[in-house]
Amino acid sequence: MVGACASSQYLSVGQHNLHVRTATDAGEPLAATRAWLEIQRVVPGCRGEVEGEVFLRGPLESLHLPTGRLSNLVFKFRTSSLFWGNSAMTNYATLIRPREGYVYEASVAYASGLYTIDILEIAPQRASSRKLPRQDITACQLG
Amino acid sequence: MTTLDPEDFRRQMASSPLGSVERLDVDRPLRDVAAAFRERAPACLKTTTKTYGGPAVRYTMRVVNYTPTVVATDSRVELHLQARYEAPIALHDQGPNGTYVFVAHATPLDARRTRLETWAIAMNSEGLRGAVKGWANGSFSGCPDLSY
Repeated sequence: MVGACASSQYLSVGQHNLHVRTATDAGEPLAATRAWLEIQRVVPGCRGEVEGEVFLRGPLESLHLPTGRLSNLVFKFRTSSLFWGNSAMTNYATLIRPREGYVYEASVAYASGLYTIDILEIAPQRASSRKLPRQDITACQLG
Repeated sequence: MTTLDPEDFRRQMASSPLGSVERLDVDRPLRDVAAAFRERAPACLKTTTKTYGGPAVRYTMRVVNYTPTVVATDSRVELHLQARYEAPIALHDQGPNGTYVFVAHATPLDARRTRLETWAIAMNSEGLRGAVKGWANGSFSGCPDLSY
């Protein structure tokens, strides 16, 4: 489909530290919403360079994010309608700097034109967890 | 319909059959509504949507850049959303951030309650209106799909 396959598959090398739970429902007959995640490396100037994509076929996808450096996670949704004969895309992006030994659980839910994305950071041995606030790439702090 | 001023937009939506005006009182103080607008608006509404449609031989793509603005005073918080149409044609009189497509005003009723009023283009704004109402009353922290 147009616009959805420009990037390559993300090469997830290393122990999986991001688990993404996805549920999508277009909310109307003859329509479907698909979700995928684009992982970007953040480079000087607070720009994102695409490293690859992971299709969120759900219910659970796992991948490795490099620890100690910023990545920009771009969640993308495409709703295609056979009835209307169209396809519409939107996205939501947030920065993350994974920490060594920590696990990240993302919950991605899309239903009838509304979506929610929450990312939890979980300490080793599940000693504690916190919901990560969204951070925009334009305000990145490298290093 | 191009509108370069939020007050013009409000007047147009109030008088047009294409407009939608809603009013809702929420059990939250204005400062909480303002905080939700400040956090959610840039996260959810600063976005670009792409819509593809038409028969396969004449596929068209529509690209829209959205820009939210939150304006807060002691007595009111306003949320504005502008849309700039980039493709297939860029309208020449859109202004740098495009035309207004949604305006919300939150004003205090008392120390604990706030009145929310929204003005929108009726078609395709249900999700946006629902999300903003959810941010205001604290029932929803997600985002509307502006391409929907």
